[in-house]
Amino acid sequence: MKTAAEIRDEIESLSAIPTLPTVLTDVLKLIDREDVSVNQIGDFISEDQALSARVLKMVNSPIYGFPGRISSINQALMLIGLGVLKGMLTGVAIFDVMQKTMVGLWEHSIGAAAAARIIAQKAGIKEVEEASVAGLIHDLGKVALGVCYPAEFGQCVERARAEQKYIFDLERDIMGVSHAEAGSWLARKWNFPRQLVEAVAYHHKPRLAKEAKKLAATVHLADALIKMTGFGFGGDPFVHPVDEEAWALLGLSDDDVKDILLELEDSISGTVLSF
Amino acid sequence: MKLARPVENESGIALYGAGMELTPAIIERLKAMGTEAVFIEGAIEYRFPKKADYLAVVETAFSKTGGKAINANLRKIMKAHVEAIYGSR
Repeated sequence: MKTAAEIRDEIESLSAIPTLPTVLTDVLKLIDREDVSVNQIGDFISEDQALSARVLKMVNSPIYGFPGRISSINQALMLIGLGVLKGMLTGVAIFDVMQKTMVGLWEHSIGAAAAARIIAQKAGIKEVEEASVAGLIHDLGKVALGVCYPAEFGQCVERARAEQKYIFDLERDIMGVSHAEAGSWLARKWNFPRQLVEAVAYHHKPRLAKEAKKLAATVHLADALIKMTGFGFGGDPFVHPVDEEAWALLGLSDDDVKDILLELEDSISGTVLSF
Repeated sequence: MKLARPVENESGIALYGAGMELTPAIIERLKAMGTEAVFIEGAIEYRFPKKADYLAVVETAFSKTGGKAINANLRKIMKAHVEAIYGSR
C-alpha cells in the first residue's frame, strides 16, 4: 500500500482533472493572476458559450439562491466573487467525471450545495454562495481518488455496498487516506480560498476546522440532510453521526430544520423562475 | 421552458398545468396576475419516491447513527416531514 505522503504527491500532481475542458484550466490559471481584472476574466469565460451557459444555468438555479436573476457572467462575478466562481467552475466542469466516478455523485453534490445554501441562510451566515460552492465540491476528493486510484476506489465503492459500511471508513482502511483529505489537498494545490479548503477537509470532522468552523459545520449538516432525503448517492446511504459542536455552532431549532427540509425539496425538485 | 408544477389561483384551481410551455404571452399574463415565481422544468430530474420507499430511505440513512440524541431528533423530524408532505399531496 502506498503511504499517505505518496498518495498526496500523486493527487497534488493532478494539474487538472483529465476530462476538464482546456478552457477551464485556462480560466483557473487566469483567476490566479494578479494582473488580470475581474472583467477580463468574465469576458474570457463569456467567449466559451458552452461553459458560460453551464455556469449561468447553475447560478440561476435555486441551488445558488439567485433564481432567474443573473443574465451575464460579469454579473455573476460581481455577485459571487472570484473565489466562489472558481469553486463553482470546478464543480460545473467536473460534472462529467463525477458521473463516471460514481452514479449519483453529481446529484449528491448539487443536493449538498442546495442544502448548504439553505442552512447558511437559516444560520445567519452571510456568505451563502460560498456555502453553496463548499457543498458542491465537498466530495472533490472522491473524484481525485477515483481518477488516481480507480481500482482501489472501486474496491471501496463495492465493499461499501456489499458490507453496508461508510465509504469514508473503507477509504481509510484500503488506501490510508479519506476523500476529505484528498479533496483538501487538491483544493489547496489549486489555490482555492482557504475557507473552501477547510470546508472540504473537515466536512466529516467540522470541529477540527480552524478558520472555517461554521462553514465546515454547514457542509457537514448539508451532507447529512441530503442523505436523509435519498437524493443522489455519495458512496453509501448512511448519515454520519452529526457532530454536537457543529450542531451547536449553527444554532438551528427543530422548526428551522423542518423549514430547511421543505425548501430543500423545492430546490431539488424543480427550478424556480422568478418574475 | 415548461412549467414543472401547476400554477393555481387562490382557490387552488389550476390555471396552467405542469408541462405547459411558458410563452412570452403566458409569462406576461402570470405577471399581470401578480405571480412572483413559478417552478420550471430544470436540469435536475427528481421524482418523489412512494411514501413507504421514502420512509425506508430514512430508516437506512439513520441505521448507523446509534442512539445519538441529535441524530435521533433529526430522524424524528425527517419522519414527520415525510408524513406531512404525503399528507398534503
